[in-house]
Amino acid sequence: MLGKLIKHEWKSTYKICCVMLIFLAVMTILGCLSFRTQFWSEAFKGNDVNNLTILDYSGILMLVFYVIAIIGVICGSLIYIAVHFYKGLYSEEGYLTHTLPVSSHEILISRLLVGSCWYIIICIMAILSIVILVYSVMAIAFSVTESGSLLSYIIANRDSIFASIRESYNIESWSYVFWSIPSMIVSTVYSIMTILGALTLGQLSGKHKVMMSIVSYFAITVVQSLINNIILLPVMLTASMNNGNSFGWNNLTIVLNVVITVVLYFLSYFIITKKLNLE
Amino acid sequence: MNDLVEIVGLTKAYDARNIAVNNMTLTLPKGRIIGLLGPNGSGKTTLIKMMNGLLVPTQGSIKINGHFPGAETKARVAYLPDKTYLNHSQKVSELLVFYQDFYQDFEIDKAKKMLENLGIDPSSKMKTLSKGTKEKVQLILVMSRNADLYILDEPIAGVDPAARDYILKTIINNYNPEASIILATHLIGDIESVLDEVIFLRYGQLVLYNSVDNIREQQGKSVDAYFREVFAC
Repeated sequence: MLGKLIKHEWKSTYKICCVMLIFLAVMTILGCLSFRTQFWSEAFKGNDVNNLTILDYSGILMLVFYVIAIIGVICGSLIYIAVHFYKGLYSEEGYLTHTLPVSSHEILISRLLVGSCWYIIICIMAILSIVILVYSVMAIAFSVTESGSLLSYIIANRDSIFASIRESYNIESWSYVFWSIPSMIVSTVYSIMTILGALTLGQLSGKHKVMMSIVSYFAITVVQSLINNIILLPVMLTASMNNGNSFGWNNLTIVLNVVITVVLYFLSYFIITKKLNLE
Repeated sequence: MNDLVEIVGLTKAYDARNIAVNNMTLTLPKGRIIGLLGPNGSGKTTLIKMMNGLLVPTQGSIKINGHFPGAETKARVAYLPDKTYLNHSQKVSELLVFYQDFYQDFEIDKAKKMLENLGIDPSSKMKTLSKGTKEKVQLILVMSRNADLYILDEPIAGVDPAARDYILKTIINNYNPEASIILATHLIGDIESVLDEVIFLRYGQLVLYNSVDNIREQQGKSVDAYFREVFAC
């Protein structure tokens, strides 16, 4: 039944999430186009630009909209996931969800998996959008100062460019990048479980379930932040100074997020099975 | 064993003053159409929600087919809530597929036939349908299951008298005679003719559980008239 739940959860979310992705693609194209104005080509040449045209103003404005759109899509996707969870689990649609012949584990896991998948897809697309925009800007800047294309320059000088990136970001080896993938997944699942957990904790309130959910969300976030920044960070810094402990703060943050995710999962399971009170 | 539902010492208290169901003990057999009757706030919907696992009892227990409410009972209980609970952005045809995917006892051809009889286009989105038509779609989905127990909470409250007749006909014609139906309503006069037994609830307590024939014989009046007498303000 888990597969069927995932299938229907995916079907009921893909339209809105695809609209967000299409919006992101459109904003990326407009963002790239916003650099193709006289203002930017003069600026890249190092010339002073005094007389701005309407097109130049529009380009600058479009860039502002692009930044707002990126932030909006990432925050919007979290809000959409929260509203979707609330409607499916705790509003009138919850009457169907909680009377399906499935276990509470299957209900929670299907939501968590599909919500995490969409959030990670949207985050990756947002990063890709920024990469495309940066490449586009660099290509314009390259074309006004150098001959040839940026892509052929990158391919020709790839070893020195990658070495420079590794040096700049203190990346010891490419396995570091590989190991950042689990960290990203944990962080995504933690974000979605925080939403799911907060909505479920909100059900413990008699009359103000939505308000209680919002308060729970901020409470979980603050507790995570407090543990991370006030307890773990000083502990790790002290350990690092004393004996050169290489188990970094980032790794400890991942462990903390895993612990909070597991606690919220079982708390949500307990509330759904023992305290459910659909109105 | 002919018992389908066993309720023992069931209590649901929202707080110390608000006890929706109070120490109820009741056994319901298979193959009956049972009216769950009582004034507003008598605990009908709370009892139904506990039977469907949507509320957790404060004390006592419910067993359906020998199981506590859970995935096993939900596979064999067809529940119609007193709310519009289907996803409004979905088409009726998508809901048919949804029910077919999750309920092994769902007969999609039966549902399509009933939709056709009522002139409901399966390609319509739920949000484009009137309130009454939405209720009919919900009822069709529920009654197209071959369940052991049908629990219908106010199935005729929001529809016109003509639709009421169709709904009652649908209920009678589409349920498995081995199964039982629990029908909660205020509109006793409209459903009295189809009922085998009735349960009267007041302030969360069981006032009466008897067959319709016994009530008529012993009280010399219809269930509707007897209900009005028992619950006279």
